[in-house]
Amino acid sequence: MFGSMEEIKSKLTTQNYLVNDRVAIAVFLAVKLRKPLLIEGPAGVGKTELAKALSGAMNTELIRLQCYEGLDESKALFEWNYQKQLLRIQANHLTDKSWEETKANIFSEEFFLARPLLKAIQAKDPVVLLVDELDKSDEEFESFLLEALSDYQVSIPELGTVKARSIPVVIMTSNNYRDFSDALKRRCIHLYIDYPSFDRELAIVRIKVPGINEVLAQKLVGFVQSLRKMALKKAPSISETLDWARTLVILGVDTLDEELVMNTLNLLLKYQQDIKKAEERIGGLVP
Amino acid sequence: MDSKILEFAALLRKTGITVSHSEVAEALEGLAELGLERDIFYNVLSSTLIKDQADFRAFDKLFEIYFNPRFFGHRQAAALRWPELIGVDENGGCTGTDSVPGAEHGRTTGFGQGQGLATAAVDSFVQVIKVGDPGWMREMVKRGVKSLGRIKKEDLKNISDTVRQVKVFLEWNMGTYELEKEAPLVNEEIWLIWQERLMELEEILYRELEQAMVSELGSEALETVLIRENVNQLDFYRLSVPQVAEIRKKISKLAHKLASRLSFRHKKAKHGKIDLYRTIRKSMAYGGVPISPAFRDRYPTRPQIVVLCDLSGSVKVFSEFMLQLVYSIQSRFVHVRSFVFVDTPDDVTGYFQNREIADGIRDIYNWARFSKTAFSDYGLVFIDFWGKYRDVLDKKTTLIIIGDARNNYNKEHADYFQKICGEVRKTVWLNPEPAENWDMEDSIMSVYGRHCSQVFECRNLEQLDRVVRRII
Repeated sequence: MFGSMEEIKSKLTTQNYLVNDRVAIAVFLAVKLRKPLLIEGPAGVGKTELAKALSGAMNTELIRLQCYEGLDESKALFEWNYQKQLLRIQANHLTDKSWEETKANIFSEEFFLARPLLKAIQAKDPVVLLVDELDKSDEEFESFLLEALSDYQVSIPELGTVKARSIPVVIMTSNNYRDFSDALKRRCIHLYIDYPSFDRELAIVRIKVPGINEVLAQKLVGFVQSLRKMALKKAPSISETLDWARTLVILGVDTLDEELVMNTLNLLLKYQQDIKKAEERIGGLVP
Repeated sequence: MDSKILEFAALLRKTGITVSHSEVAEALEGLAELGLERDIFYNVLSSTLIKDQADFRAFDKLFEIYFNPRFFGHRQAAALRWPELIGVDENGGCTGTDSVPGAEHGRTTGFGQGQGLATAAVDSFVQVIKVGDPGWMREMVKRGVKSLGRIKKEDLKNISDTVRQVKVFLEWNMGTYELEKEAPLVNEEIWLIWQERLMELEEILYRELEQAMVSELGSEALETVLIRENVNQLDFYRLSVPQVAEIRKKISKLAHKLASRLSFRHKKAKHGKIDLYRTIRKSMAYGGVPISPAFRDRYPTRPQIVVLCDLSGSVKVFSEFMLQLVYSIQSRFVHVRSFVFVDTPDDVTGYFQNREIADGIRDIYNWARFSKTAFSDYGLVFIDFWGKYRDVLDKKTTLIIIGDARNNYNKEHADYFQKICGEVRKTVWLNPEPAENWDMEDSIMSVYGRHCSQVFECRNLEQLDRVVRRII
């Protein structure tokens, strides 16, 4: 897949995703050692994007499993298609088939609905499996996932054990909403993505918002960087920076001034208290 | 190499980070793939061994000490430094025991210096922060650490005192004050950067000091330094400034865990008392035969809580944590009333309504009237509390008292305390001092403890976690 760290870097860059050594090494280890990669960090720093870029770089499919409270096996792994099974039973009644035949019939591949996890394991070529926001799921699901990901096989009572045809690259993301068990953490390669430095953020803005002029890009990144130093409820992330940059480009401005910032601040800050705090000191913040 | 990594993992475990064998194996495998270039080496180790953002501080610190170029690869030197970790006989010995004559007198406290000199120190401090050159910052801190002369064992035991000594030498507080004076005149942006640099300088100070200690005192110092990193088991009053910030984060996580755990439990537990009305309603569908019983919904009891916090001296840090915890899980209670005291209680409930906890705590120090003499006097507090705030107590209320029960040899007035305890459902006392120090000197824990329902020793995060689970 990937021969070296540099290859990962260059391939992800072609996907418009900039990585530093730290991220590249973590991804490389996850792929090489066949371990799930657990990515943590504040919302909006590009955790999910990394998975998407990676699947693009590897030129494979991205299978996404979005976690939420109450997510269970049947939605993550597989389900029987009950409605279709019922129809078949009724249809078999009309023709003169025995129960044994029907039974053998309705538990076959045809009535089988593969959910993301099983799909990822059954795929012919290795895919990227993104388990998004794992921290939102319940603890029971976490331990179930543990079993599936430790030896990449699952057991289904009616079909027996399903072994992986290819081992997927598993990426799990978390917003640190709750702590994971040690057993899960132990099995993962861990990566923490923080807010980027000035230079990196500037590079990201340039690559993602092509139409932006140099002066504006520098000023707006500088402003966001000083915002992050304030004690806010939710500091602006890269995604907010990008949204803001795109907005400013659409508005056709080429430099920042206080009034403009005041009017568009709600794109960066999502809490009224934060906006107020920033507005009070706006004069000193705008570069 | 392998054994180095193993040693490193063993040392990491001392800081309270769990490192399993398979993780060490992964680290080695990763290194075999990627090589030993220093940056790569660091990243491979951190992404395989560390699984929690909070553990990074400890990891970084240990990495810097252990893989310091000065003794990286010099196994012999390392063996001399930490004999019991590496398993070499101790005859080689550490070198830091013989004392240098005059070293004791060489300490400068900063007070004795002449006016001209002192101002120079302030100026250079302010200058360093304003410029923010990492090299300068480090150099200045190094100068401060050097001013201590030879580092002794007592310094290790009392690291916060040692830090204070260095700060006095560098005129740290004066410098901070100067900067704060200038703050309104400069741009907000610049002020934020200064603040960040001050934090950074604090980190550098700890780091330099610890490195100096390790290279001077050897294995003993390393062990102490590492254990100090384990915030879960570290006494609250020993925390350094960055560690307090870390604990704050951990407490908000703990609060979240407490709040969600209970709701989950109560959703599941649907059995027990039968709801007769609904059972009969349901049975109508089956011709009056009660096929399945309907159970009563369970509502978690939401206690009313009154927190009474001592804000004097060493208890202060813990009291602030407790206030933060209680207010982050406020929805779990019908009502929270909070009082703070040193020698008289004041109602501070209003400070926390609909606002950030940190703001509330800051305002308490500015506005609340809880201290007349700055010496805690529990007896007076209980008399005043009984006199002024008796009406907040009733039989549904849990009273939580946080304090070390050190009464400065004042009158104890346990009868008033007994009366207060008689008014509430239960009284819980959390004492942040080690239990073996209770009833020593001016501590009168057992005099008050007699009337409480429960008394807990609660001096670190681990104990706080356990206690809170039991009382809430």
